[in-house]
Amino acid sequence: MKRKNILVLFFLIALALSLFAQGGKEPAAAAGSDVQSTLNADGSFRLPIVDEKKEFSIFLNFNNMPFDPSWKVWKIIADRTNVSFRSVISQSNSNETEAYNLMLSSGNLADVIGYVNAADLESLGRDGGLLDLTDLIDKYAPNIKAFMENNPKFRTYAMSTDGKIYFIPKNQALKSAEFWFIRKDWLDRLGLQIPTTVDELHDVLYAFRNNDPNGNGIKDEIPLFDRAGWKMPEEYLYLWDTSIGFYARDGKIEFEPLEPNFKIGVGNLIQWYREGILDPEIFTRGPKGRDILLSANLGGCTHDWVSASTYNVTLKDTIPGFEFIGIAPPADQNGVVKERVERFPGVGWGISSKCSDPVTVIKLFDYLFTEEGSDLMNWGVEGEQYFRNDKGEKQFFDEVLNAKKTVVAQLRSIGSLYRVGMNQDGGYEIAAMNKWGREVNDLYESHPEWFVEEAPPYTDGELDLKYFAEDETRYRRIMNNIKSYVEEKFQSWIIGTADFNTEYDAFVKELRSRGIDEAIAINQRAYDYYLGSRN
Amino acid sequence: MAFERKRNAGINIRSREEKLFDICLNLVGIVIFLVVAYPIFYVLIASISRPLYVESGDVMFLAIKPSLASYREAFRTPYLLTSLGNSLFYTIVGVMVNMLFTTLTAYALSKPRLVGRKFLTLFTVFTMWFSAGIIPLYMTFRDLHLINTRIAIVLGFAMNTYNMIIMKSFFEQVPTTLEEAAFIDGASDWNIFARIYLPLSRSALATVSLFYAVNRWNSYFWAMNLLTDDSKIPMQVLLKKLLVDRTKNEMESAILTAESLSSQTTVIYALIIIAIIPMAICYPFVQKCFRSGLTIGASKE
Amino acid sequence: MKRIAGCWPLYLFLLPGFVWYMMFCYRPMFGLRMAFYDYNIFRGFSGSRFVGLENFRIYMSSPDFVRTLRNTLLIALWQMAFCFPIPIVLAIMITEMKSRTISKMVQTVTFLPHFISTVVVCGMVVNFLSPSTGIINFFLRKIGHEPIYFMVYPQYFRPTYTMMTLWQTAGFNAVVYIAALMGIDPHLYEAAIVDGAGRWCRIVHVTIPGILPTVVTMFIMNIGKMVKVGYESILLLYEPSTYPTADVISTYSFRLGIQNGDYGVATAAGLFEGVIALILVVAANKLSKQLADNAIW
Repeated sequence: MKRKNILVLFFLIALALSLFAQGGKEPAAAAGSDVQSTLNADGSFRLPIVDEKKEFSIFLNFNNMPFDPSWKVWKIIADRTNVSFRSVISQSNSNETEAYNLMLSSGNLADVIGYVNAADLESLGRDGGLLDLTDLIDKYAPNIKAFMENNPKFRTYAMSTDGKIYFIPKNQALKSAEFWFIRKDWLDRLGLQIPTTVDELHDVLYAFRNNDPNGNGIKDEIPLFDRAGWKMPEEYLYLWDTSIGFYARDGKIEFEPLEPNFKIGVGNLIQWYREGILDPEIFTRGPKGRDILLSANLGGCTHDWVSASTYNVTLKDTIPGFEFIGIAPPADQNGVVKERVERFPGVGWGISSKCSDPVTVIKLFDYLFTEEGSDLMNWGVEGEQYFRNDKGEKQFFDEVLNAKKTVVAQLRSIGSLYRVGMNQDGGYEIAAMNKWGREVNDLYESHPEWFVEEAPPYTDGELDLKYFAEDETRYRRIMNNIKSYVEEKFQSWIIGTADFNTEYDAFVKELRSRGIDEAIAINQRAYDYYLGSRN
Repeated sequence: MAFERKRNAGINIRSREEKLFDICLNLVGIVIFLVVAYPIFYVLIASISRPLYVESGDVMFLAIKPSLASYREAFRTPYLLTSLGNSLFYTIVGVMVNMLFTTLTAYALSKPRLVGRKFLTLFTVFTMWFSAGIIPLYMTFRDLHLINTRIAIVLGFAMNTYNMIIMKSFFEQVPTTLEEAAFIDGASDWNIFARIYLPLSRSALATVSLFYAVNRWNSYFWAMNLLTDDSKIPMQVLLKKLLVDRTKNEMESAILTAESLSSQTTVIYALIIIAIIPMAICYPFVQKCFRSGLTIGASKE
Repeated sequence: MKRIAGCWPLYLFLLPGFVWYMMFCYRPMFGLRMAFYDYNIFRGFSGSRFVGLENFRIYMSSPDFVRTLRNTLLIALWQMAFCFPIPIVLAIMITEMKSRTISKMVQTVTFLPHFISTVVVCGMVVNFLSPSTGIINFFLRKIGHEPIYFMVYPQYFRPTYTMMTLWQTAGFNAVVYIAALMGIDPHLYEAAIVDGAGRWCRIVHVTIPGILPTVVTMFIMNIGKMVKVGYESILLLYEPSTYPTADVISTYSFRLGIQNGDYGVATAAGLFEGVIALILVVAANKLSKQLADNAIW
């Protein structure tokens, strides 16, 4: 026994000693540098921003692409402004969330930080990790300041619920994001009209399934399909003006599964699945669903980004007569035409409290809002990706338009269109569209009444409001239990392992017991704040 | 055939029952081989097929329109060769460090005469179920100034309790009479360890080294989070990045047509084949190390 | 005292390992107190609020919690029933095989799956189980059966997951047993043959008792591991409609904790899992001491 005690004692002493190798958090560096005006006397942007080259550390990993200082566009920016960045994560980093959390826990914040989640950045800001940019913008970022004044949605998105600005968002100039596409050649083949209501859409898709429009004698058509991700097949509930999440109707936030439209929508969708209208393997088809189904001449209709129009070009020879055109959203059961998916400003980048020279950094942020900087970030390098034609308009080179990689992929590979504070202008997008894409884009952009003006921001199909600090954690915890429950029930109803009609009442009861009413109230508070801050 | 001779003591009795048994065994072996090999075979044929056919599931038993485009594309992955070199470095050096720490610890813990043995064993085993989590471990690396160093990867994972217990269990099976005899002859603990136990435990050493090697080769998590220099990254981190790319970049990923020669998916399959090849080649050699046979005969009982 | 003095060289042997455990296992373990805080990663412990058992309450009060416990135990049971004995059988088969070629082929091919990353294996599983293009349904159609959409029906999840794990780990785990089998004294076999024991009899009376200590050790260690039923592969394989059988403790705590950045809760979940694993292992250890006279401590 005595020996054992000695051993335990030794162990405890060793443990205690090892604790002395504790590190501490580094103190924030002092700010202050020579302050020059950002603009020249004539109002043009003063370049270079600083006389001596300066390098700042940056944390950014957008869509699995960590910031790479060797990108052409950023090299040019560094040459012009004398400001460059060094990434604090390796190029092979593939988990942004982990890297972000580890950076926070170690206390070694990069000078410039961007992240996928605005709420987390603001939370970091409130904790003192990010600087409040309001004054800096006021004094040293005239372009950003002007942009905010002219774009209230942008300004609202930038402000945290405590009134401070912790990051510069990425603005979207275009409104429409996704469009309805359908096989015109199949419609013609079967002698059908373009559907304008959801019931007409059903009949058309039913005909697609049963009347063999691809002419091979096999009933293999898949009328309605989607690409894998966060939105299938839930987004097809939009056809009946419902969804499995939150929605703002006339100033009130509602949780749509509790509303009457939900029964109509889900009932119909189940019917469509049974009739074979909805892709039977929609849950597991994968991100290449479009490629597979369209190339095999099986796919009929989808709701997707403008890139869906590219198939008109690539499949021209393989499938003779192939025509995949954009149509207006089908009117719902009440005759209302609405497109729920639209673009909102997204998260960008901010300056951390560890930065020793925030003035220089904010000036660089501002540079991206000048015409020069914006062109670099949207169009790439003049003479390489684009040129100016006789009318002075920007156009992409043919090699860029017809390359194997999409235009967006090419631009991203040189560092443009990165998730930073910038304005993603519609110009480059339209310039990169083919004639079908342009047609459908014009159609949607010319019908602003299809979009809801007071719609709160959505990211990836989920409501993306700013919450008050005390609501944040509570909301996430409640939704954790609710989201998985709703998804589970929804999918099992669609595939038929559970019966929707008999389970619906119990479903509602369960949602209430899991705290959905509190979640609605929290969202209502946040939404009210959102509407208020826009004015 | 040498092993078989040992078991049959040189007597080649093959009754009808034995013959039937052997045939059945061989058949079962072949079936197992086919079933287990199929997915690997699939990776191989998918890596040389056109990606659209791979995605649409047409590739099942044969490659469709084979080409080496995916391999060419795979070799264009930035930092591929550096990362292969790093993987080899971390595996070889890592395993040496691992075996050093592990054999010493396992040996000591296998001796019943060690005072406090139960406590010390529990001390090690306890860590198998209570690990501190990512953030506290990361902070430890930070406090020791080991962030972004190769030493962190090599030393920070010097022990795996699971493997250590396996080693300890093998050491315990060596008869104690050997040690007693050696003590009488005046040998020191170190001599007994190095000259008697280690040579006798060749198969155990091979097994545990193999486990560590596989572990090192396959691991990517801490390498990705601790190392910020791309020149130090091992291959699995690159592979993981490509795998994540596949799902994340769906928005503007290249449109696949029947003409596309390679895609993210086929490149990943190509990289997997590239990563498996060293192991597939080395393994038969490692299997030879499992011959130990000399163990028990040395004891005179 | 004399006994300690007698084994002081052994303590020297232990030193490197001991230091390592202290630095990289026990020192970080102080971070486990995160489970009792509303932990804010940036502010650290000094900036976080102590909440006692609140995180545990949050973790265990979810309506789905009990289901995840049940699923974890059931999946663990399936693993123990299949993924534990099969490597042993495989190892015995490999060493008993007359044909050296087939034996080596089987050994190598069963070992290789361990090198294919989980993400890729899961992708292949989804592929192979597809109702329209998967190979399993291809064979089902050949025998006249309707294709089955395996991935979305809850009743297929456990078998699918178990078979996938089996494929990935059987050959690898068999290695330990092969090594143990090689260590059995050939004289014992000679004696058995002389006594007239047939093939099967020799396996039962010589082989199996010979590797029993190894089997027992592996059993005790694996029981603890089972509780931490790997979340990465389940995360990749499960669909919402399979949550009733597929949602386990680790996937649930991943969604609740890590995905939400809620590290206090995530740590509490980890502690909970650790406690269960510890209980199971202690019980297994005691049991094997009684039954097989062999244990880890």
